[in-house]
Amino acid sequence: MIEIILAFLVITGAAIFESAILSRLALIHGIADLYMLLIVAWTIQPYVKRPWIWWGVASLFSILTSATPFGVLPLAYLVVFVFAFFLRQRFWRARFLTMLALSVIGTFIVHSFSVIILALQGTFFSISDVLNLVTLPSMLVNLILSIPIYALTREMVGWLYPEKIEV
Amino acid sequence: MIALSGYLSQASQIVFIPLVQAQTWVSDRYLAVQMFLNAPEDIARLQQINAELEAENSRLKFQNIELQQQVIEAQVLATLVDYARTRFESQYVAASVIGFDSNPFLRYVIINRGSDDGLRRGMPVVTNQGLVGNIAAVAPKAARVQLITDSSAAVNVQLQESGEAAIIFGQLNGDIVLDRVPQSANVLPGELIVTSGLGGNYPPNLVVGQVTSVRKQDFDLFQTASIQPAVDFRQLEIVLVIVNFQPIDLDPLVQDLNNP
Repeated sequence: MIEIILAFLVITGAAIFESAILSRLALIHGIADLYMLLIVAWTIQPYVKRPWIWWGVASLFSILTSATPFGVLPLAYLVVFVFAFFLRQRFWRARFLTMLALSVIGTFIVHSFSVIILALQGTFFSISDVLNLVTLPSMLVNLILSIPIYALTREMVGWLYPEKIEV
Repeated sequence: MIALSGYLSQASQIVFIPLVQAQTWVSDRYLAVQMFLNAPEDIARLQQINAELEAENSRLKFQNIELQQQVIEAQVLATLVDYARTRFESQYVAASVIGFDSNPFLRYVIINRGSDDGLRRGMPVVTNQGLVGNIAAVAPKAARVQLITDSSAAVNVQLQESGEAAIIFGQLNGDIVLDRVPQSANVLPGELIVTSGLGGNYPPNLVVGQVTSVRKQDFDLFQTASIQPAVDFRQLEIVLVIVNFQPIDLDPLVQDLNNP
């Protein structure tokens, strides 16, 4: 229960911060994706049980706050979540590097989903414009933001799941 | 006699100068000791006064920022009221922009008025500078506005001088492109673009922007032009929703045309 409450509290704050501030601070046309970063940062932490809760809550807020066609962002976040969940098992000694790598890969996945769905709806973009104006700047912004978000998430996980000390 | 001779003053100097110096020294030491003894009390008092002044200073700074913000808002609102007065045929609801869409491929803003304030889907949104977009979705206390710079936005417009009809499309980089301009039309940079009212989505004569450059090639069907939007979409704070304009839904007609 505490996990759900914490997820709602953190992601509500993130949604407000994202919509009111971060989305105005574009690097060229790239914007940070706090939902994706929080899902990744939470999923790759050790001892976390039921990391899908954060995916669910973040997806819910993304539906509420974005005009992206219904279901696209939750689906994209699900792919990122699954990716992060499997990498968590394999790169457990280098979680920070996993976070950095996933912030870049995750941006690419989420943007790919958005571009494909918008193209299916009749809005086409030039690939070079997408990469140069939106995706690469967004990757850089997400890469920078992933550092404090990873640190913050690690603190929260440490508080929620204290390590057991064998006596 | 001695005094008159001037010897007394010299003699008195010999006596008094050391006395004065000694007294000064004693007095200074006394004051120093007194200050040392009273210092903790004074420092505590000064610290308290300092803390009070700092708190007062912070409060006044905060108040100053708030007042500056209110002045800016009042100026914006006054401009919007002037604009509303000049277009008295329309009824407006003012709303603050409280958020932007987090998807970088979309250009939507969230405003703090919704269906409780009489807003409906499709209502045009403007500022005193010109057309902003239209309402794409409504909640009781908020609404989402699609900007005319959105990649899927298209607005029927006309060139103010020549009267030629055209369509503007939003671009990924936030620019606007004027398209479907007949090759015969004489489009010049600086020409004003206003809504034409065709299609029934927007009322006519809302300012959209100005032509900055024209692209005309003989092998193209139409001319295209880059448009400088009248509205600065990065500084969007307060907007007006035209609430007495009902957009016309052409979908049933389009469906009839597709399935005769």
